[in-house]
Amino acid sequence: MDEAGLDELLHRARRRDEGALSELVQVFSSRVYGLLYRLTGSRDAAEDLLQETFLRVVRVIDQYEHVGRFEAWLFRIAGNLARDRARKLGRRGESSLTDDVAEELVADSGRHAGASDDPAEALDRREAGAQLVAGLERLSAAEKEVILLRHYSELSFREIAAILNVPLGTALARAHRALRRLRADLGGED
Amino acid sequence: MTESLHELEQRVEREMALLRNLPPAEPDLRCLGSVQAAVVGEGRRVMRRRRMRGMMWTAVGAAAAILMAISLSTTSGGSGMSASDAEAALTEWTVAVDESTDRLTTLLDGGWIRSDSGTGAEDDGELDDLLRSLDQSLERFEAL
Repeated sequence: MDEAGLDELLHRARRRDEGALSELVQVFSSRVYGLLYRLTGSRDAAEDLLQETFLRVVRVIDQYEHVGRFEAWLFRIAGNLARDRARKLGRRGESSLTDDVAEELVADSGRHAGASDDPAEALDRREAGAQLVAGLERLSAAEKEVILLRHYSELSFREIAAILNVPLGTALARAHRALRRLRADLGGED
Repeated sequence: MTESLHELEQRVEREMALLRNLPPAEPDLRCLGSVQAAVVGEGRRVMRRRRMRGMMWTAVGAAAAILMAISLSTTSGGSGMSASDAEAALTEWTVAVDESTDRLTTLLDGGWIRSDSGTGAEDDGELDDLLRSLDQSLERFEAL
């Protein structure tokens, strides 16, 4: 969606135009859900947090000032919700279970990656996908968050650093460390 | 030589290509539909609360104006009430209105109207009744 189209959509969403609110969900839900699923490792949690993210958007969209990108504001809300959930689980002594991810690794991590005509290539992609998912689970929460935010939000590292309230250098260092570990998991050079 | 932030950023951006193989994770249609319905419902509630708050302020303002006029006419009509008594009564009344308005605002902001657990249909009916009664109150004030 181009900037003018998004401006118009947000203008209508501020008036709580029902079509605009539905469209907002339609346009951004895949990326927000992707982030939430990879952060929580649970489909149920990702669905709950996705709904809560958009409910908050509807409640406070008047406070959103169009000075930065809408995505920065949206993904900040989603990221905060995921972090709150992780904190609550941590306080209760529960781990952020990743049964869904484990299931995904076993069953269908490459289901969507099999579009290639070449079976060998599809297999490689499937394996790479599964290794990536497994590798992500081994990263620290902070490392995982920074690269997933970059991947799903498509924001710059500068914007991500602002979302996470850390210096740009810290965000880049976390991302660099995370990617080096993932590459090592995939058998590349370290 | 220390790598500059800009160089590090460019390098990390290139390395991000690694995540291209991440399997897609998308909400299913049921989830999408449920989020859209919840969001549209919340949008309606926000608008209703906003409209209601506007009406409350209008009602409070109208009541204030009428009571002030009554109080002033009583004072100037030789009711025996001194000017200072009338002023004290008005101040007392204004404080009472402020407190009531604060309570209303707190109730509205605190989600008195909102019910996350219900279907929303009952809330809608209640709200419509409330709004209708407010409309009628204002009409009565206008007729005075």
